[in-house]
Amino acid sequence: MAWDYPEKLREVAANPRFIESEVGLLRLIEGDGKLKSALASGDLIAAKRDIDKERTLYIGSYGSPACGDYMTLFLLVNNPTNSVEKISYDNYGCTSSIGASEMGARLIDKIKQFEGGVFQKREEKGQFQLEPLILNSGILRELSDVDESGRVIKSVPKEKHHCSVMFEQALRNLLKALTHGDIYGSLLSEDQKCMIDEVDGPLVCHCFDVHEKTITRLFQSIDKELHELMARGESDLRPDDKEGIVKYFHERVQESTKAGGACGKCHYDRSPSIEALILREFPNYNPKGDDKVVVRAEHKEEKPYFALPFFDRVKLIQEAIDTFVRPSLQRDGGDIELVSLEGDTVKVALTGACATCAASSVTMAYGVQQILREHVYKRLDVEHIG
Amino acid sequence: MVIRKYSRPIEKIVYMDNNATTRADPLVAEVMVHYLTEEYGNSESVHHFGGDLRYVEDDARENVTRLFNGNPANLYFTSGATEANNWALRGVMKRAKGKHIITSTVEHPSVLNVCKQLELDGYQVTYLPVTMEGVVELDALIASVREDTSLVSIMYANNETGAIMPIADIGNYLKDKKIIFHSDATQALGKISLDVVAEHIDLLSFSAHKFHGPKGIGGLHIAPRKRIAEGAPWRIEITPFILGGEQQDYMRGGTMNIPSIAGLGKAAELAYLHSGDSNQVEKLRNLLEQSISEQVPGVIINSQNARRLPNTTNIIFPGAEGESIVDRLSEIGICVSTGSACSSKSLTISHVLDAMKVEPSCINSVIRFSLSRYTSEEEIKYVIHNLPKIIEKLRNYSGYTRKRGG
Repeated sequence: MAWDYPEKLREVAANPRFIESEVGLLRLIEGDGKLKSALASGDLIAAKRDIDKERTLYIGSYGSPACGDYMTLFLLVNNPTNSVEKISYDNYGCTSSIGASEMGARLIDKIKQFEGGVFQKREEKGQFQLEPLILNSGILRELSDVDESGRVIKSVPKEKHHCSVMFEQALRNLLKALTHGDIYGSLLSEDQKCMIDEVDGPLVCHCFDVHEKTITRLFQSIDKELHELMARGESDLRPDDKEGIVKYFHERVQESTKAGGACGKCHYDRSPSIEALILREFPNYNPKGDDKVVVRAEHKEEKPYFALPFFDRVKLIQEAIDTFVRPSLQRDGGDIELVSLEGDTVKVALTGACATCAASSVTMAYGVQQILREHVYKRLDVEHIG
Repeated sequence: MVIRKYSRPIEKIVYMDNNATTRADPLVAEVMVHYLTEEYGNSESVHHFGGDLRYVEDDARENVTRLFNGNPANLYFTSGATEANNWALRGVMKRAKGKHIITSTVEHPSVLNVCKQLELDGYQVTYLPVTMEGVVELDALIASVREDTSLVSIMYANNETGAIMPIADIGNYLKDKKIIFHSDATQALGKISLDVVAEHIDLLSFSAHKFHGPKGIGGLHIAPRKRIAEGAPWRIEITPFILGGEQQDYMRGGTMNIPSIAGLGKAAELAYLHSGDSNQVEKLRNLLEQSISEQVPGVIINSQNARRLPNTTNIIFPGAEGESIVDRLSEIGICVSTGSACSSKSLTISHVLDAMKVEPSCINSVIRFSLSRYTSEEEIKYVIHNLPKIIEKLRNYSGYTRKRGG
């Protein structure tokens, strides 16, 4: 389908000024074969090279051509003056991805200041974290068409927001070089893995390499956006519609990061799953509609069925069967066995006296389904296998 | 409703996306206007003004079936190939004794998604893999036939790569079996010659807008019976899909769409007249492929060694992203398609190229050019003049050229 891009985005994407092949920052480290081949194969995540006494070249990459987008960001920093001397990037991606990379580069070029401009140091649990200050939201705002009063008249299509996460992610990876030096995807040491987990949280979406904190970072803006939509009456969601709200959050997360867009296993089955993250952050919805629509968790609450890891779900079902179904069956000389759980389908086998009666097995499966729906989760289906 | 001019004023349009849809021939539009405004009756009416319009249906049936050596009496009009595919699969499986279907991984979504639905309803489906050239292999099909196989549905030619499937071989193998053979010929009809009798195709679906006819009309050709060696002919059973009045022998309800049927008939007539043009189309396609290969280093042409539709070429441009290429070509009026993930709403890559085991890093760099009898040599030259510059630029952005150069 054809995307309705803002003119600003088209203009920026058509006239890029910071393409690495033209800027040529890599020429400064001409002889570095290892770095070059890591760049060519897409293995490089982050790197740092001192060019002379004063200047350092930082490199950060994100994405892969197989996923549809790939970006490498290069920053030449003058250390004594704390300023970005030159910036460049490689981009393999669609029009909005090129536009976002270029806009990010232009913003950095305008700011120049490295620490305090491009990123800031933040203390967390006694450790310093480097937080980028050039964010997707800012890039997206800059790419929108505005009228004379500065009101946005056309913004980047929602479906294409995920293409602009490239820049922030590449910058985040680049900042890792400041604290941890070179990082190669294939050679990640255990230390570095831990470090990535520490900065970005555990890996959630394995297909698109999206980590927990990348997802949770989005929650606040989604929350705000939903709040506004509800206030204007443009959303059908009601504050007490927990499942609907989780779904809305999930859709927005997927639009912004691609997380969950391929195999879908991280929706429920992985730990942590996207659903579990949403519910952990926002377990209660505030029906009064105060400043924040969603109230953050004060303490850990019991998770609902669909947010549980697989084995806990099986356990709940097993418990329900043991408590509510098995006793009455055993009275009649039969028994029931939980065979498998596939998605929302529970497969059970009837044994003993019940197994030989075809009609009763269908009726039983229906009965078990009603019990499980009542006590465990309302979307469960029960199938009887002979 | 007003006709809005194309939002981006461009001097010329070079349309090379004919596997998506085609321009209706002006002669097709002419007959359609006639049956919309002059003879606009209902062909089911008793009065002559309406009822006599049955001749339009008859003419169209004749013209269409001539394209694939079918029987006019066995042709049913539908809203297009999607409906025809839905009907063929659901209609057959409802009556079938066995619950097994064989299809391929590269089918159109209107077959694949119906198969997925049927699986939920308790049917079993085997999805045949394809070769690196994107072709289904007869041996694989034979190996997956079971006692309870009731239906085989294999497309005639693939929409993305243009690869033609070994339909005659499959038909020949199935002709003595009580298995119904359906082929989605949407991309093939009007582009190459088909023969449902010689190739033993029991059900054939197609759509008019792929060969310069109107959108929203197509059909399903249903062979009534199959002659299994020795013994009485075996009746092919299929239930109707869209129920309504007594139109089309109760097999497909809904008022006869006479203007569109007339347009379809005219388009089929013209396709038959122009069938000699396919050599010219193929020559232009080859010119395009050859020139691109010469001027753009590192390109890969998919299904190049397979039997292909004469109008289609599917080319990988490593280092340049598909949607960017389409977008930049579109700015200068050239219309093509891509299988890139970014171009789809779902962000998923082309299932066809994935099934062909195309290198994942290349799938997002794929462009499909599909020509028609309207394509001129001058248009090919316009593309060749502009495309290499665009690829070079995008490869520069991605660092591909630099990385390649060492």
